[in-house]
Amino acid sequence: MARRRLGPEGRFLLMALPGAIFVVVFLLLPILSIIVFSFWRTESYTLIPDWNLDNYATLFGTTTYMTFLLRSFTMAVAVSLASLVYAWPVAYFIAKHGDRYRLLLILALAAPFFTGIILRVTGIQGVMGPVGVINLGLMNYGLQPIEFIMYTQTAVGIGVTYLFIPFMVTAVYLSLLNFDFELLEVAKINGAKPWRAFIEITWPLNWMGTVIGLVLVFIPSMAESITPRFLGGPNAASFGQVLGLQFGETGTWALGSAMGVLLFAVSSLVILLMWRTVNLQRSGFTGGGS
Amino acid sequence: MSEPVLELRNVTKRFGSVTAADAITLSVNQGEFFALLGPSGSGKTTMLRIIAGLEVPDEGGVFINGQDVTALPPYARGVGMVFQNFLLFPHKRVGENVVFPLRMQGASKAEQDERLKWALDLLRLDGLADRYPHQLSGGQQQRVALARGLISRPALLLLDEPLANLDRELRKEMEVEVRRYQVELDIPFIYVTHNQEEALTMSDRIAVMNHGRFEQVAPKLEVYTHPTSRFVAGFVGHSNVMTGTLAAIEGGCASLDWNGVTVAVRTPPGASVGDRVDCFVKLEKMRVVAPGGAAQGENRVPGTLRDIIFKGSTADYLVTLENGAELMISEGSETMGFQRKDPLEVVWSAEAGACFPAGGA
Amino acid sequence: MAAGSRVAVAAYKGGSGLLLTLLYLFLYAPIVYVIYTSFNKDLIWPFPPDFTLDAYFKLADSSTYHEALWNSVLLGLGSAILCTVVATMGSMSILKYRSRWRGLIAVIYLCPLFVADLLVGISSLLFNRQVLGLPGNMGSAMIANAVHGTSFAFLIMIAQMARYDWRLDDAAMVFGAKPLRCFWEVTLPIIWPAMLGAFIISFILAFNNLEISFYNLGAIPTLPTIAWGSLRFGLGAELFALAALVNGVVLVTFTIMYLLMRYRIVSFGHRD
Repeated sequence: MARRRLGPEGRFLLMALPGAIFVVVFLLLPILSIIVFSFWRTESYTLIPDWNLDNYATLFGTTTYMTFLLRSFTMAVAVSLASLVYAWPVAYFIAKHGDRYRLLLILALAAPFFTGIILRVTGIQGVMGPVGVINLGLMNYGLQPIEFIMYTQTAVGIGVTYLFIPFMVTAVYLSLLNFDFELLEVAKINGAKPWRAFIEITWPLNWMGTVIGLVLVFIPSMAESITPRFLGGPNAASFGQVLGLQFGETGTWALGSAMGVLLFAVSSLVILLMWRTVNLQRSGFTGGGS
Repeated sequence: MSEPVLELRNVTKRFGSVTAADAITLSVNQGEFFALLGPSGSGKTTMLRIIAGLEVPDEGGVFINGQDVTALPPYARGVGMVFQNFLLFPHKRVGENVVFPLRMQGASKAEQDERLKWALDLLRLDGLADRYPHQLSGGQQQRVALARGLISRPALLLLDEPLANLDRELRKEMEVEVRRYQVELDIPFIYVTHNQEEALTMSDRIAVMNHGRFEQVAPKLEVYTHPTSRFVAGFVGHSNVMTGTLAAIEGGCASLDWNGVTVAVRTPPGASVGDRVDCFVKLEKMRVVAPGGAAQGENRVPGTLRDIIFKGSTADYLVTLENGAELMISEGSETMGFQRKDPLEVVWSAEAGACFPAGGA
Repeated sequence: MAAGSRVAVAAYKGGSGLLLTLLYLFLYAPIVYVIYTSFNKDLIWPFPPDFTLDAYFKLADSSTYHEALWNSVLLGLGSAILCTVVATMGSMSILKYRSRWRGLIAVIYLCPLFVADLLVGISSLLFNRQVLGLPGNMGSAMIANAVHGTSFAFLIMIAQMARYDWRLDDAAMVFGAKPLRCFWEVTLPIIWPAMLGAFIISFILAFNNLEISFYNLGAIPTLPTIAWGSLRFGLGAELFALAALVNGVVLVTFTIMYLLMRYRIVSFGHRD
């Protein structure tokens, strides 16, 4: 009768594997497939297995593509940093003073996602566009409209920050949720002023959460394709926007795949660089479990 | 006499309707091991946090070496502290944890190294400086916490139930160690605990706290032998409690009617005939003897031995008296050859009892 | 004390509270604008206000939008259920067992975070079409969205459950609870707020996802794809009305949650 009991290793795999397989099959295999397709070519909306490097030659050989890539990259870096600076005090406030409403305060940051991205960007345009609420209000009182938020890169930056800053706040907040604030008292008793305690204790112990937040903002900002179309000027096209075109109007899937691979490569590189700054020992990560 | 290292003057702290510290006044001298003893919720940890600067008192002042530090934040007070759950910085190695206070003071690298070596030697942590806290045993973590508390030669060291999370064996060992460090460094230790054994083993002086007040502040022997309040008598040591009515008072001596048994007691201050009184007698202040001896100015009450609880070097005798009450007497375990159900007599001196007006329940 | 330090603490608290308030204003101003516009005759130029309920009447009549809303809800629910189940199993296994595969498994679960929506969208489109030979449909859109949502759900659950004491499970087992029973009686009552959080977030992400859904749904309309499609003719009034209604539902839900928390009827995992 005695059925052999699974050991902890077995029970772990039984619970963890289905999800892992799910991710591998439906995320990693598709990514793998576009890597393959990026070496093919497209002819009248069909992929032809004719191995070549032409797509990459086109990408790296055309200045405009590289400009788009650099523009998106710069935008993503700027947006990530802006989100970082703004999100930290906000997340700290919610974690420390949110009391029993903390979950609600965080969900309120996620709720704007219920309104689709297109309407939200339309809304931003309505608020801060050339004929938006802000500028109309200013002009109504005889003041100069704010020019830098009209069809500029700044406007796109504000829009993209608007879309993704909740990720940053949430990541830092979740990290702070598992931070032992008593450690700050220890630091203070041992002579650390508040800002010193922050640098010595709070920041390093929450660096991993911060990195996750940065990545969560960086990745979609880098690939953002909607916002520039609404808020950017004529020279604001982003890499994601052009990438989308390959799968729509032009139907050049192989080139699109190569662009996807390039986007993936740049993002992965950034993640890798960020991850190298995380020292698991130094993050206070002790492993947990039993 | 030299100036006290720590002085509290009329310190009061309220949390809503709870008074955690009620006009506390106290001074602790150089080289003194001072224990704050009390049940949980008595306000002793709040006391410690006020001294550390983690709480601001509503009224009163805190003085360290004569300087008013009431308004100073914790990082400007120069005290060391050891916490119950160690609270080591998980992202710093042992060495980094220990030198943290020195770095905050801006000590030179050479001094840091020298002091670190000293602290690791003192606490027998050699060779562990490069480990992370989670790689250490509980006892080692405790030593690191102590090292961090001591390294900067603080004016005084605060210890918040530092041994509560250790197992019994280790605790016994650390009690001796902690006392050794204190003697060696000659700075005051203020030690919060709810464990009377710890307080009695290590300290010079004990303050027994209850409901935010000091019930008694005295050298430990005095607290043990001459409790000044009903609460202290019940909380410190193990006592038999006899509740009865004062039948007669003759100067310093009174007789207590304890459910039909008359016992001689010291007269509680300000008591009069007919008062309800609790009389506390420590277990080891009573003896069991064979029946029939003559009373020699002592209380002598007949009873029957119900059981003997063997404890190693001592044994507890449970004796049922004729009035139905039960007494517990602590004796050397090799005394006499009593058996269960033997008739015997319990003897104690009237001086051994501490009497107070009866408590509510 | 430290009157100075108290002032500093108050200033910091007030300052960061103000930042939070400004963030909410920033996040909700465009949404308020959308709701305001939904009551206006002119969608492009809604000033000065010219109030009308036209958009809502149009919405009530439009079967396309009903269908799109229904598809969005379906997509959101299906994807959120998948995410929550997968993330619960994944996060529990990682927190509970000390396996040498833990690191690898955690990295796999987190992978989707590091791939942009757009990439998930086009890669699953090409994979489905070229490798599996599947046309776009609700199922593949659900799965593609769920893959992306899984890591968000996983992250949220890990963070919320990191302090769960798994010895409670041991205790339950010692007292005779079989694993499933133990989950139901002991684990679930403690971790449900984390699961709810994961469910809500993954629902929101899928409900309004454009870039994954657009490439995987084929011709099936959802709210975001219909918005995308109507761009070149100008956004339909119905969209504004729908967004206003959805936000109304969110507002009501939040109000209920607030009241439950305010009067301590449900704590949603908060420990005083």
